[in-house]
Amino acid sequence: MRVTAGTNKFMVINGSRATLILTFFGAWELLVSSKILDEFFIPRPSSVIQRIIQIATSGQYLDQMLITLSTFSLGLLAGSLLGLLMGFVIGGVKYLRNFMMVYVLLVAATPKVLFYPIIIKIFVQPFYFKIAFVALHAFIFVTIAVVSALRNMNPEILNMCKTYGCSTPLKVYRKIFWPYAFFSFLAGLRMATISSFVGAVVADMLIAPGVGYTVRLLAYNFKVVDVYAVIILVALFAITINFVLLRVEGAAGKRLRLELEQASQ
Amino acid sequence: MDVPLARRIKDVARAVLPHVAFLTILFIAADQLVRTGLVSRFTIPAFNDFLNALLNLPRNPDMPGSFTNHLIMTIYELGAAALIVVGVVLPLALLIGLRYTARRVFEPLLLAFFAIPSIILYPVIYLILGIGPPSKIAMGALVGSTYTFIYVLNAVKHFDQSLVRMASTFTTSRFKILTKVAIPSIIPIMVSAIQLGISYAMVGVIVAEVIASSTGLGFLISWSETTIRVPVMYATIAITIIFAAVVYVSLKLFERWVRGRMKEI
Repeated sequence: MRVTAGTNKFMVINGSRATLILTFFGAWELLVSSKILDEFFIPRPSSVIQRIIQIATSGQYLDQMLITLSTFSLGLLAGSLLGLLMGFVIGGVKYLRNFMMVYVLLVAATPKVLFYPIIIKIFVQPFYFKIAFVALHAFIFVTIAVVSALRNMNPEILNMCKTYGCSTPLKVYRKIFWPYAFFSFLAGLRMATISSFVGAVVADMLIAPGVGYTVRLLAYNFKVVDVYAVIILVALFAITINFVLLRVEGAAGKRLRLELEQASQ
Repeated sequence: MDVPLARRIKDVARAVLPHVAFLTILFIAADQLVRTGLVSRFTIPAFNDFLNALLNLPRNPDMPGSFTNHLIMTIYELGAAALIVVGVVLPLALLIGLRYTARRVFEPLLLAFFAIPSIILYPVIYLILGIGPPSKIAMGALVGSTYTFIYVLNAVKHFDQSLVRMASTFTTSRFKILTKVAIPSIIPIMVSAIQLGISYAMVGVIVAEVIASSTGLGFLISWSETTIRVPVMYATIAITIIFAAVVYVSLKLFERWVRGRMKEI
């Protein structure tokens, strides 16, 4: 096989990446086994991997993970739908957009955890609190994404649509606003998903049950290997979600570009 | 051309007055809902109770420790986390970002790390550093660093290397190229990264204070929520939102000032 410069670079990059990861875990294992790092607080990676396999096969903590997953999904769904609606309402009317964006940006710039006591007081039940708290994380990103897309819209397109028969506001939203905001919405949705997952874990840490609470409880009981194992499982889940979303975003973008090209021909 | 003062005042009034009216209506409505008993005082405090709590925050005798000390502690923790982000992480991110191979090696690893809710690592951090300022500073620095790294690696992709190449045809002095071309062209990236890093460091610090701490504004919010001191809780949330807004606006002004100076140069 001929080795090209491209293949060579690919091998160097992937080789460096693998070396970096292996060095990190190797150094960690070595530092703990040589007692430079205290095993009571930082366990060996090998024991963590063993524990991960045990957890994965026994289904331990699965119930807690499912609780987090359900609040995350429901919150993301509610927040995205609300954000989409809010984005269209605010973004579609210039005065409302200029007026309301100050508040939307203020909430975006504020750590969302500040609102948790207010949400608890309103929703009382932990399950509903968590959904609302996650929804707040998703809502802001989707709203900002949709409003930004509509703000940059060429007004000529809107005028043209009206000339060609977009007589009702619903038609305007369906034929113009939605396709125009779609790309931005997808980008916002990816950020909203990452943020919502953070929100779900924070909500768990504040109120039981859930995976965040489990990690906190395990840490209080000094079950350090379990803490690391659960964290790595959660991390793997989060990385998978992000990867899938990147793929979906890429595929949807490709499809939309193709459709636009076909329409322009 | 200078805008006449009267017109400037009129413009400011036109921008501010609708918000004053909106917030007044909002406060009156909330107050009436509480007074008529439609909403419980345990959910929203009456406006005068809130105002009373807000004005008496520095002299509140029930509070564990003085309010000023809590505020100073949050500022101190944020400052220390910001110092780590700006002084250590930002130069490191630039160093990696400006080297193609290093960027290709680190980028996917960092993107994967970005997807993980950093807050889930807080129990590990406080296991190692204890529940005190060091763990909160570490949490703030961790959250801020993740976003700074991702932003810098993305931004330097668009950094115009041709400027450096062009400068090297005029001079052979590496120092001159670095100080006259390379550094000024990456200053906008640095400024935005500083803004992003500090904003997220604040999120990390406050979340850490809320989850497990005995000092800081986040702790006060958590304490007033669990002890059902609703007016104090709302007053502390209001102060923290103002604090977050001040940090955000200061960073925006700093960014604008640097960009203005850059244009002059």
